[in-house]
Amino acid sequence: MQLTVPQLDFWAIAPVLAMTLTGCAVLVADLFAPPRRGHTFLALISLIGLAITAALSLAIWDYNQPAAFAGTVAADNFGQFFNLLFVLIVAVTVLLSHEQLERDEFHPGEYYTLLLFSAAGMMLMAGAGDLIMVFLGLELLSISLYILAGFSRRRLESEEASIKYLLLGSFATGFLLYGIALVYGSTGSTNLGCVAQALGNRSQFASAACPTALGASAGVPAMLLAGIGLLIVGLGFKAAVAPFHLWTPDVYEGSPTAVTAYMSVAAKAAAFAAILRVFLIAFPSLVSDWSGMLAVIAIMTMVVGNTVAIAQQNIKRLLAYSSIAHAGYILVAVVAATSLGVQSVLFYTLAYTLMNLGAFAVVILLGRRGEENVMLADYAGIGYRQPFLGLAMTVFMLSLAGIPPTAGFFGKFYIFSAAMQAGQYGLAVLGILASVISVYYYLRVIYLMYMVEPSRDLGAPAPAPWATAAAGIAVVGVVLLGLFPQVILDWTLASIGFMG
Amino acid sequence: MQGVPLLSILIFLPLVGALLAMAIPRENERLLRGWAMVISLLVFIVSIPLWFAFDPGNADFQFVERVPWVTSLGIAYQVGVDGISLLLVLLTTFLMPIIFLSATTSIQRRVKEFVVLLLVLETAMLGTFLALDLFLFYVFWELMLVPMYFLIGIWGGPRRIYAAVKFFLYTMAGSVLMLLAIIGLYFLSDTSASGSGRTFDFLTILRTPVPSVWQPWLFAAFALAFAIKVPMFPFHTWLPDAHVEAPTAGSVVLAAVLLKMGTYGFLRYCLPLFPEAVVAAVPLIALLSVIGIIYGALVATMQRDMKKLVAYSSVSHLGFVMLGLFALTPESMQGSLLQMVNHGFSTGALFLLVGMLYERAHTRMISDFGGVARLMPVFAGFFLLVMFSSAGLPGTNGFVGEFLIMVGTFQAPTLGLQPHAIIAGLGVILSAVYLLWMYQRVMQGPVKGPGGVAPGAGNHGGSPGEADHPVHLQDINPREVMILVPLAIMILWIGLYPKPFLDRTAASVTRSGERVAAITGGTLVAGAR
Repeated sequence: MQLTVPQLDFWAIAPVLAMTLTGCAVLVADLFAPPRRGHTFLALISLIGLAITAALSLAIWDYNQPAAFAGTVAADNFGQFFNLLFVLIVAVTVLLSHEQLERDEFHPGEYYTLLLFSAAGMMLMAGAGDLIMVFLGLELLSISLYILAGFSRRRLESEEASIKYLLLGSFATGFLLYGIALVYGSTGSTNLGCVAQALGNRSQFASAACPTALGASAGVPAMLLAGIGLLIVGLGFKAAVAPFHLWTPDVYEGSPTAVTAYMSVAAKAAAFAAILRVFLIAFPSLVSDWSGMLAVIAIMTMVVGNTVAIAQQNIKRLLAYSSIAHAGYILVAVVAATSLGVQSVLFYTLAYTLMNLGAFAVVILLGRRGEENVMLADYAGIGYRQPFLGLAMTVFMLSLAGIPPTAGFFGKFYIFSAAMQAGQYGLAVLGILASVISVYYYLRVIYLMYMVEPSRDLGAPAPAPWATAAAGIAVVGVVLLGLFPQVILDWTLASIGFMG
Repeated sequence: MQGVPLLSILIFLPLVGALLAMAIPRENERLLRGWAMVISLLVFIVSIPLWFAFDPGNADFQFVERVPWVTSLGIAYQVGVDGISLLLVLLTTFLMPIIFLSATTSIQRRVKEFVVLLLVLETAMLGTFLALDLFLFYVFWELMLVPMYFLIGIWGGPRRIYAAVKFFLYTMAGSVLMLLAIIGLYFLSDTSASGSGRTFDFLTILRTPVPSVWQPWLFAAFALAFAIKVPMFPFHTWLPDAHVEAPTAGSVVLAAVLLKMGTYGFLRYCLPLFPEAVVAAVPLIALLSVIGIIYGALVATMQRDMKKLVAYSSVSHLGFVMLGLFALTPESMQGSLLQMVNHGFSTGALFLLVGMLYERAHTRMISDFGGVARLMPVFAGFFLLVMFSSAGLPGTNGFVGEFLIMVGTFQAPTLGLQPHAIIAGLGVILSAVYLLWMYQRVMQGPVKGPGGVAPGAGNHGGSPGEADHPVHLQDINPREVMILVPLAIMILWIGLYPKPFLDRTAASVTRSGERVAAITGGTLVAGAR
């Protein structure tokens, strides 16, 4: 047997390496961290590592190596866009966790390490050139998140969240793996480019050693379609789309709020990156088969997320259902499967990241030692007692609801433009009407803050400069992105080269 | 005035004022109120040159400014003014100082938030009227909802939250479909394969006729958004709630300016963009308008709450405006445009008057009052004038508008709207009925006040004399006279000499109706008189 050593192009994975090494550095530094200031020390190391990761991602912008490491890793602008997004997500999460770690006496070393490792997993998913790599990245992400969800060990809900996430998540991973197996069985490869070639499309992502193409007469085997369906289940679980969303509210409610914030944006972004990669590289010729499935899922997701959110009394559950709904909007753009559609997914993911992290930052800032204060009634009168928090939350709610001039509005506008261009008029109308439903519950948060007298005193807020900074960054980001989207639009336009 | 970005200054001055107002400490209410007056007066002063520098003979947009915004999607910041928006812009800038002046007493808490929100609202309103880019238009259009939502929700009456949320959801539900239609227009603006010429630029979109297949759909989406905003029967149910719960300042803005957004939208966008669909929709819209006129008037007649009465009278009056617009004759359309302005003055004034009475007596129930004219003669005088204007009596502005609308509607033979015009005429009579009846009950007869009888009895009934009148209804003070005089002047000016107003609107209205006229075969000639 002849063993060929693939060309090792470490530049292509430089950002992932940096992220992983940062995680290791934090793990080691934890041993030497001063016991008192340990939080800050480790947070600073994480932030420095994230800055290096971002710099490396920018350095290999336009590097375009579609089939590094024998086709398992693709280093293109699409991957770099998501790498930068993940860096942003982790950085903001580090900021908004800082006070909560102190308040709830979490051990900071493992916390930051797991955050960074999960981010490495997400980067592998976004840069995957092979279904196996998608699987590995997803596992790295998931296992880190299972632990993070249970980080608040003294709270039963947190443990419940962790176990629930683990059990259901393992099932979903099983579906994904089975889907990969069926795809392999019907096309002879797990490499995305090779799968595409097997189906009769030329692909820049194909590794050198692709098996021969299927015969033209073979048609589309049912096994392949089943495999695609299972891939949708596996990735849809991570993206929290209906009907694979049932874990979401419980896990979001039980997890420490900072972790909830993180997974509500990170896991979703990674899942959508993987969905775009897999479906647009491997199965572009079957778009009529999978876009129908995704359209149905998108409608269910938007309707379920938005209607169930109305009934929630707990802000974390409300944001959980809202995050389900937002996954639905993003799916609308995936269904469009055009270059405009992919661009709008990228833009919306960024917009959603900023507004959702911001909203959770406010939730964290409203918590007190030993009390999370996550019931909606706790928000009464906040607009006057803590004017900055009220204003920030108003901006985030309006943005989530899609009111101009915010990032959320422009994102929705972009997504529905893509749907209209692709002729998905029905989907666009349903989606935009579903977003009107969402206005109701977002407005409820606003009127509680400004138009209802507080029922009880939450106590004076402890100073929380880190989390406040996170909220501030998010407010500025949401407004700037809404007013001047052109810069990011240029980036998204430069990131869709992988569509061929 | 060459080179001065007059319209941008107009749009963003209030916003800058609002941002600076955020820096003023909330305890310093006098400074906040003064600041709001200064800014709103400044905006009005900036808008005056528009009236004089505007070229009435030119149907094109004037003072156009264009700055690229989101270039990859063909979105630009583009503003301009024509005869259709000119009067509405001036109406807005004219009313804002009056509203701030009236709020001196009616808004007592959270003054800072009030000032900031109302100034932001002014930016949004002016932006909506002046935008010449569909994306920009939509941004301003939606932006209007937020401050209005807070105005109703924070300073409103007992059911304010219900009213605020209903207002927001209703309008939002209508306008999101318009967003899809706007996106549709964007893709239709360049149907070539590359699509590089696609744009949201209204002027370009105007030059590319919308294909007939698309017109009904896009028109329906636009029309729904505008019809809810107007509001047309049967989409009017949010209006009474919003009006009754809103503070006086909110009601005035809502009635005088926000409702005009709907009718303005029909005239600005629907008529020139979707002429075939418009002509096809005439029977339906004319019917709904007439139903609105009669229904609004009948319901107004039965109201016990003065504010609700005025709210329903708005439904009736805007039915006239809609009828005039869709009669598609130059007279009726011009009359409609003028009537939009008239309604702003007269209904705005009515809400202010009811607000003044409410501040004194803390009730708006008609049955709580009687003989007020004897206690407040000056107030009663203004009330009478405004009422005549609202009922369309000759010599007031309401007459000119309604007359033009009905003449125009009658002259639209190809569309067969004579019956509508006749029924609308009944609406005028009904408006006199409910207004005069209210006047009679509130202003005349034996003096009566809330609580009715001597202290201790605690219910209505009996026939109390002046001696045991439980509240002191003092006549209006100089500040309140200052609020009402400008409105009275406008009512009489337009009523007696409307020519300067009609001159400035004629060319643009004709232009807006050209494509429709080409279908109906009517000839639109400039100038109604």
